[in-house]
Amino acid sequence: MRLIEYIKSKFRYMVFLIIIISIVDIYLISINTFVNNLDDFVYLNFLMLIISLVFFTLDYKIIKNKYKDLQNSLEENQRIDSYLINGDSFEEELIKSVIVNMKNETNEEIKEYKKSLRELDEYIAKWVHEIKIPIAALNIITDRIDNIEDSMELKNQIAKMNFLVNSILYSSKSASMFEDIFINKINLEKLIKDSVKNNSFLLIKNNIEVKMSSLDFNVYTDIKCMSYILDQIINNAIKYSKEVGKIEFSAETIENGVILSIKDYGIGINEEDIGRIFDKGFTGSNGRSRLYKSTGMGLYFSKNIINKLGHSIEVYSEKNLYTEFKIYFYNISDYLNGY
Amino acid sequence: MYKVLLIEDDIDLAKETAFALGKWGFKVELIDDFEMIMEEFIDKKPELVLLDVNLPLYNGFYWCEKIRNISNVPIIFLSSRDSDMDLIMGINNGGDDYITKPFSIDILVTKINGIMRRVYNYTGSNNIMMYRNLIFDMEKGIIKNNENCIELTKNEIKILSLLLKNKNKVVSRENLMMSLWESDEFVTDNALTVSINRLRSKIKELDLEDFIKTKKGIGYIIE
Repeated sequence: MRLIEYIKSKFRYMVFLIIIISIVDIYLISINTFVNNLDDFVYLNFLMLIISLVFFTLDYKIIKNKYKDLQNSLEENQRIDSYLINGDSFEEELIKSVIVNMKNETNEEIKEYKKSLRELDEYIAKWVHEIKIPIAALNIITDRIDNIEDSMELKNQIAKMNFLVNSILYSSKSASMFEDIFINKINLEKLIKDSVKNNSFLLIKNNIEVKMSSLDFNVYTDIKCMSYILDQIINNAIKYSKEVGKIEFSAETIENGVILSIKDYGIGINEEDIGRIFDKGFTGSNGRSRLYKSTGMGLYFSKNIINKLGHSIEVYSEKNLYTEFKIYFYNISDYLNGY
Repeated sequence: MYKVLLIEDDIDLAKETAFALGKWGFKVELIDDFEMIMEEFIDKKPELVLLDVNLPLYNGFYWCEKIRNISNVPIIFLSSRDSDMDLIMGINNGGDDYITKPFSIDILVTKINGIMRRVYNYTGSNNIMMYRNLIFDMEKGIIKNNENCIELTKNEIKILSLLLKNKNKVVSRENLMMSLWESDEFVTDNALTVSINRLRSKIKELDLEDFIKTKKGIGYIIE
């Protein structure tokens, strides 16, 4: 509290005091108390002024001290809580209850939102499981279609549908803080092979050659989360591939972990876009101009998940040549120390 | 013929799965009344159970435990729930395997055959296939006629068995490649062509002309 603010807030009291002193002075003058004693008059007024000054100075100090914590918190944008108020006068108690009240109200509201978010997540999870049943049936039905071209076309669409359905499940999971992360020792080669198999139909259908080299490393990660991320990256490689494409998986060890590199020889990313591909809702010129639609969410969620797992991801690209994602898996000791 | 009990409450999926498994030589029984699963299980005496997790009344884990109390029959879970927890629950309650939906029939059949082999010493009725003058022994990986015997590579075995199983039906290049990828052979389109051509010349050595026919732009067929 600055002095000027204090004076402003106490101005009425000061005016009141001056009026009282003036009335007393006028009264004393009018009954001729100071006729031959002007010194007494000066002395009395001086004394009263000094006492008032001392009083207000002390009062200013006390009030300034009282609200120091609260004001600091406000200025530094920190949490406001009732313990910041020192003192128990009527106003202070009032401020305390206001803070407590508002906190309770906000907490209630947050609880509501959390609940409805969780309900939505649960509903999405249930819905995904329900929709997978007709997809499974559809998959089996296409096997018995005699016209092989029609059957392939249908399978292609089913594979796309399945990818999209899985994406929604993981995006809802990633929004709800990933409560079920299990960090395990995973063999990178097995992880990659399973992901490639998961996407085998779309890869084959789109003429993408798959190359794997030196992947026999163990990393610490959550297998479900990682397969979601690999699905996203592989799917992007398919979406943005050339007529005949190629995707290379390789890995190498570094001092504190393992780097997985996923490189596709597709249409690449524009230089001006590369910094933004992990942004929410970003689709860029690739996503807009091509046949396939992008939601702009896949890589955003992937990056979120990567951060939560304690890995990191980088992207390198050259227009019309390649796009390369590098995922850094850190050793478990670093993982434990750092997080 | 092995009898499989399919406990799945979605009638469309149940019928489609039963139909597809039927083509692979399994007799598939469905559940009529989901309150009487145990009774129907005892009544139908299946050699293998396919069990969904989300069922009316009680879930699949419950039924799995119930069945385990009275029988050692192999049980495979078929579920759209894919979390680690579900998988652990499934295996802990006595399941032998856990397959997530949507599944491909090829993979389901492979897993069923694998379990049957372990439990019943079942070697599969079609481990030795005969067509025209060609005898194909999948186990040994050889083709022969009355005089000659030729060894096949892993990929050639896969290709030939898939084509023979789908006799008189075109098998797409995509399907052939997917089945090779499934066994960790991530071949390219060109590599498939090479394998097919090698296989053809091996069959030709057994004096069989035009055994595998090409359907241009689609796939291959054995007629």
